[in-house]
Amino acid sequence: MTRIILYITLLFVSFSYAVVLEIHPSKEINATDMESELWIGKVYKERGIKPTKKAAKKYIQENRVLANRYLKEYKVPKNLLIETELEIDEILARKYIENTQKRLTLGEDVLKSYYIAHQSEFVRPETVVYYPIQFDDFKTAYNFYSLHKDDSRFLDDYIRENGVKRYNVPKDRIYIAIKEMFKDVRPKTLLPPTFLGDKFVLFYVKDLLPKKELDYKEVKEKIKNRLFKKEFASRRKKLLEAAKGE
Amino acid sequence: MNKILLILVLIFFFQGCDFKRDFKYVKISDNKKIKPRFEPLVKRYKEYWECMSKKDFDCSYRYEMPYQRFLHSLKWYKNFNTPNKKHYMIKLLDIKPVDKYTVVVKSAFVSADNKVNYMFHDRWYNVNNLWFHKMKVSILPFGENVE
Repeated sequence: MTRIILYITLLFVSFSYAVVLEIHPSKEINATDMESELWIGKVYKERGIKPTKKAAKKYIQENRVLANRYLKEYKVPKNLLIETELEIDEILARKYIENTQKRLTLGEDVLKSYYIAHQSEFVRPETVVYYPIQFDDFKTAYNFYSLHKDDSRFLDDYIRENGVKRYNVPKDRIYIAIKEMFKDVRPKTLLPPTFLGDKFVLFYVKDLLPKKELDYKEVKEKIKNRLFKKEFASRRKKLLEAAKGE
Repeated sequence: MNKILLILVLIFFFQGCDFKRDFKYVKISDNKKIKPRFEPLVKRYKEYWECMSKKDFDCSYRYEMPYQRFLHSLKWYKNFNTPNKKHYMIKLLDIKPVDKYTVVVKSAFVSADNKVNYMFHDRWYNVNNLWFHKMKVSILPFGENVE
C-alpha cells in the first residue's frame, strides 16, 4: 500500500514538474563549479574527452548568452521539456546560431565556387533500384520466382498493387551478405530467393542508375548546408562578440 | 565651360589607350607562351601576387575563392598572412589545366634579398568567368589545403 502511494506521489510530482517547467532567460550567466563538473562528466561520457574546468565554464556561459538571445527573439521549442538546464542552454545556443545562418543569403558565386572546387564529391555512384518481395516460406517464394522471373510486366504490376517498398542503394553499399547477387545484375531481373531475417526474399531489380556527376542546381542546397556547418564555429564567435558589444 | 571642353578632349584622346598596370613583383617565365584562353587568368594572377607581395591584403582578399571568403573573414586573412615576407618576386612558370574550370599554376618565389628561392603550385578556379585563387588556410607545408 505504502509503495502504491509512493508511486502515485512520484508520478504526480514528476507530472506537475513537467507541466510547470518553463524556460526563461538565465539571469545568472556565470557557471558554478558543480555545473562545470556536470558538463565535464557529460562530455567525457559522450565524446571520451575531458575539457578543463575553465573551458567547461566558458562554454556554459557562452551557451547562456546565446540561449538568452534566442529566447529574446524566438519561441521556446516544444520538445525541450525533458532536457536538463545545461542541455537546454546548449540546444538554444545552437538553434540561435542556426537561425542566424538561415537568415544569411549566400551569393551565387559563393555556392558555385564551392561546387567547382569540390566537384568530385558531387557524384551519384552507380545505384541499384530494387524491390524486395517477401515470402514466409521457401516453397511459395520459389514458385513465385519460377513462374514470374521472366515476366517483368507482371512484376511491375505486382509491386505497384502490393505497395512493395522501393530502395535506391549505391552498388558499393549493398548489404554484404547479398552483395554478390547484385554483381552483374541487369535491369528488370528477378533474383532467386534468399533467406534474410526471418523471410524469403526475391529482389526485383527494376533499374540500374549509372554513375553521374550531379548538376550544380541539384546540390545547391546541400552546399549551403555544408558551408553553414563549416561556418558554425566562427558564426558562434561572431555572435558572442556582438552580444558582448551590446 | 572650358573645363568641360578640356575633359571631353582628354577623354577623346585617351579613350583608345589601354592603361596597363605595371607589375613590379610578378613576372612571366621567358619561355612560357600564354594561351589566349588563359590570358584573363594571367591578368588576375599578376594582380593577385602584386597585391600579396606588397602585403596589400585588402586587395588580394578579393581574388580568393568566394566560398573561402565566406568562411574566413578579412580580419582572419590579414592575421594569417601578416608574417609573410614583403616585396618578393613571383614568376609564373607553367599553367596546367585540370578540368574546364580548374588550373594548377606552377610558380617560383624569390625573396627580396634573393636569398630564398623555391617553387610552388597553387590552384585557380574559373567561377562565372572570373578566375579566383584557392586560399591557403594552413601553414602546414604538406599536401593541399583541404577545405
